[in-house]
Amino acid sequence: MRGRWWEVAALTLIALVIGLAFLALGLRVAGFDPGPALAALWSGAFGSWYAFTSATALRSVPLIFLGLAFAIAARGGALNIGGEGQFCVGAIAATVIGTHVHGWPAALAIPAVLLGSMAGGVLWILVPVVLKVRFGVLEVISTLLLNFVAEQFVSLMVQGPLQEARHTYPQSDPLLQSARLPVLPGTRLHIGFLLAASAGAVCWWVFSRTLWGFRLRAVGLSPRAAQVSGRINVPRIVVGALLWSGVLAGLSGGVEVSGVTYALFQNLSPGYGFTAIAVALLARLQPGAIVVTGLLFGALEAGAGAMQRDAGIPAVSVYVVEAVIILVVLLADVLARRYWLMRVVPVEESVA
Amino acid sequence: MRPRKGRRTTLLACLVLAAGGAAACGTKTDSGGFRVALITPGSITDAAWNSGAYAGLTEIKDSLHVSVSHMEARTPGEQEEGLRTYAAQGYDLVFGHGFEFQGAAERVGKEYPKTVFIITSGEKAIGNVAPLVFRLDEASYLAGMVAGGMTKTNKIGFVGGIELPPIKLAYEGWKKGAQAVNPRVESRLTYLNNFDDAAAGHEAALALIRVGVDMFHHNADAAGLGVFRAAKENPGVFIFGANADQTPLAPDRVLGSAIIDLPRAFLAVAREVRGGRFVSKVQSFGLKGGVVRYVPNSVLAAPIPAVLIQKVRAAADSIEAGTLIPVPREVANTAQNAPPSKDSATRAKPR
Amino acid sequence: MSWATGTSLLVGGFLASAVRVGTPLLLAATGEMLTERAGVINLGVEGAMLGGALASALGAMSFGVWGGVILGMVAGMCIALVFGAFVVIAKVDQIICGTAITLGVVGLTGTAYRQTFGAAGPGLSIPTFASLPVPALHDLPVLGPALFTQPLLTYFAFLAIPVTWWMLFRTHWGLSVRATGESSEAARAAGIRTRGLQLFVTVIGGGFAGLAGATLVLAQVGTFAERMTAGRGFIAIAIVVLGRWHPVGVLIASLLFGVATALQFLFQALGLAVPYQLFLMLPYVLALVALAGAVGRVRAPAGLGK
Repeated sequence: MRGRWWEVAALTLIALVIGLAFLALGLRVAGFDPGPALAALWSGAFGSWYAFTSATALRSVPLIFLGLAFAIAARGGALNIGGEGQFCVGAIAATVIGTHVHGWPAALAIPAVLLGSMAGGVLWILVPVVLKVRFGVLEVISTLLLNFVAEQFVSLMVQGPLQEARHTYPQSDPLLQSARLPVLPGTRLHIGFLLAASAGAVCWWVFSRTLWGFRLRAVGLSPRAAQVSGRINVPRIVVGALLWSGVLAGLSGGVEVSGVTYALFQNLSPGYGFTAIAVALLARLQPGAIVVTGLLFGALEAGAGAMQRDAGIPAVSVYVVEAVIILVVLLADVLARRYWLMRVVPVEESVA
Repeated sequence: MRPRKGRRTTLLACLVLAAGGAAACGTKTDSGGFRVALITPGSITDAAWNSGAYAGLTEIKDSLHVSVSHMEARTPGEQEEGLRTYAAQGYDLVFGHGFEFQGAAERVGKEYPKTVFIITSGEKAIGNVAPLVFRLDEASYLAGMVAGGMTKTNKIGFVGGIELPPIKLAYEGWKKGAQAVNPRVESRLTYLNNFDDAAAGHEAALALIRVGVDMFHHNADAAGLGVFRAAKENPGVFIFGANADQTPLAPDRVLGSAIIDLPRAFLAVAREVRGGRFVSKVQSFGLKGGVVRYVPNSVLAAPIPAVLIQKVRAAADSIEAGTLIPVPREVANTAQNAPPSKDSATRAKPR
Repeated sequence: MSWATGTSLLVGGFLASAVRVGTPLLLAATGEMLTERAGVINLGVEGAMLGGALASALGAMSFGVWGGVILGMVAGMCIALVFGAFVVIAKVDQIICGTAITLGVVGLTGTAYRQTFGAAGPGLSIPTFASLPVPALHDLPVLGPALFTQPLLTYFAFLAIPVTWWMLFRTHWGLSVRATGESSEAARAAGIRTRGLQLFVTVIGGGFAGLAGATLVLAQVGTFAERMTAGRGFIAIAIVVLGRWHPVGVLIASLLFGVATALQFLFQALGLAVPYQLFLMLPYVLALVALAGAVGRVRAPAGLGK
């Protein structure tokens, strides 16, 4: 986004209102009363401290991590569509470690679990990286295909080697107490939220204050120009960006297992990787904004649950709201750029 | 990016109510009446497992005149959130429709002792958390007997959605039933790892037909519709429905259905809870009591030999009497630490 | 039945299965390839397929199979038109817009389906295409039942390949499309109305995707289920890359996917002693191997996604 932060905020807010208006209209057409539905949406997302922490913020954690993961790669011009797959493998790695650290204090067990999940994510993205470097396979496609493989891989794990000791249910043994993330008392919100926010801060610092961040951006804007300049090893930067992307995506899986579910299941993610792409792009790949859009999408999905509980509206309908919000923001951005901000901000993109 | 509160003043009244709730508490608007909630792990349009549960909830609403609520929660995280929120809102009875709710319900149950949590296909009764176990395998066993007696190729096939305990159990019953009347029967099993992809169900069934299968059973919800389609397209292939009476899907190809009368079981539990007679224990529903049933297709009953019908009836009686146990429950408890079987035909160990 | 005829039936049935699985992928990928050739990458193809599937189910119930086909295509085109309007006219980011479109359609179809059919669903009441044996050819051993006893939509999908090839590489129109995909500025300088062209091609691509969804409903299962496309739209995008943005390549890649999927169902049906998840991975792993091995370095249209 070329504008200042308050312009971005205003735009997103307008988009949110338009999206909700669409929802209200759609509900009216479908024969529901929009008033109670929207009230439920709000109360499910922000209606109480509990709702905000345990539904909204909790859901935003994987979205923020995966959004940041997408952003790192995308800043360097590489599209990692495989966050979902790296999430799964990160979760597997976290489960393996989290169920085996008997006798470890939490201060060791938790870092081990999280580091393991990062390693899992890196391992999974290593395949597309190698395919890209050695064979020139586009990472968009390889990461996408690996999502489907990872999904089966999780299934294989929970039915096979990682299945609970009783071999009854397709789930792993629960993580040991010491391997579970601390939880904010009275809520379900775990410390992973702080980690996600800090990851956002670190990303911001790296992107805007380090040489690597500058080079990443240069590569993303024009790989050829970066190469020609002679100062930047383009493939190396891109590979590095993809690996860091894998780190964050894997970590999101580890955090979900050790903070929310405490065991590996087949259906851990409802498509976080997919939604996170929207989260990252909506935030214009800006880390700070990703934290905010992650929260917004977390709120919408949390609200959708409440809408279904309290007003009987199918939860899938909230996808329409998300879609409309994305489209409105895209459109408003274009219009603003064309008719308004063009005069304010120079043509060259302003650094966030 | 929260919307500013000035945006929608009309809503504010409701919101204040909600916002006023103390930590870990949602709204508790009308604590007077008995309230029942259902959380399904998938869409209630799946024509089987989840739609049956929703029918159960509707039945409770209509028969007991209580207020009900439903939500769909696909991931373990959302499922726990659902249980917790319903409990915090003061619901008296919450159904978690699948084994995957067990762990979360145990955690939540401790904090909300006033709510009864019923976990379908769960395993342990702890305090206010109690499982509801449906022995669909007993009905699938009877279906398997008919299949074993009717097959011309001696090959029977089963298409499963995701390899979950109740599905494995149904498969095991089906296989055992067929082998009980026909020892030469060979049983094949395909998993889709999916409950939505009807085209995949269709393709899986056609592949089974090519290797000689002529009797089908399924437990794949919406994806199972593809199996019916495949049976319809191939002369001489018959199928047995699952969860609901699925005869209408293909009246000339469905020989019978192994059904779970979820509404009946749900209503019974709701009555107990409301009447204060609820006792926390593993409630098992099988052929005895009629919640699980084998329903033959009355139109197509003619080609089934009378001897076979006699055998099936006798087996049903023995199961009800408890003298015949198709898939022993004890096996499930003694199967600890058994290495997972590699053979696909016997992969589904009795649990 | 002799061993030879048994085997020939098994192989024939296997090939038929591969073609059946490959057909919706082929249709969606053909449309996506056209779109991408004009420089537009449409991640909304999954949504267009799903929308096409629901519309074809509703259409077929009211107006018969042909009504279903037409409504399915129209739905796909409408969804692609919305996408096209955003990315071609308003020039918004293509990847995010496609993501949003798919997201929105999942929500819309889910809600609309529940409103129309309630919890009971349509069952198998939707009319379907019968398979149409090609005279003379369907008697061929092995290939006859596999390739020439298919529903009409399958033949259409395969006929579309030479037609698209001819359109893309032998007509002036095709040249304009490709020029636009390589560099829309250069194409515009050469007098091509790039925006209109991109929009048109995107809508055609959506029509193909809608038809792919309709194929699932009308030529395969005769029912609709929420999320029944199960990621096929994304596979189609992979197929376009695997097929190097060329109609023949797309055909081969679709069939490769079809063969791999049919193979996994066959392996499971044979009761092979291997975890079934490995079979379910097979199509995707094969695609990766194919990308790495046979395909080598591919070059996307230079203006793709811009």
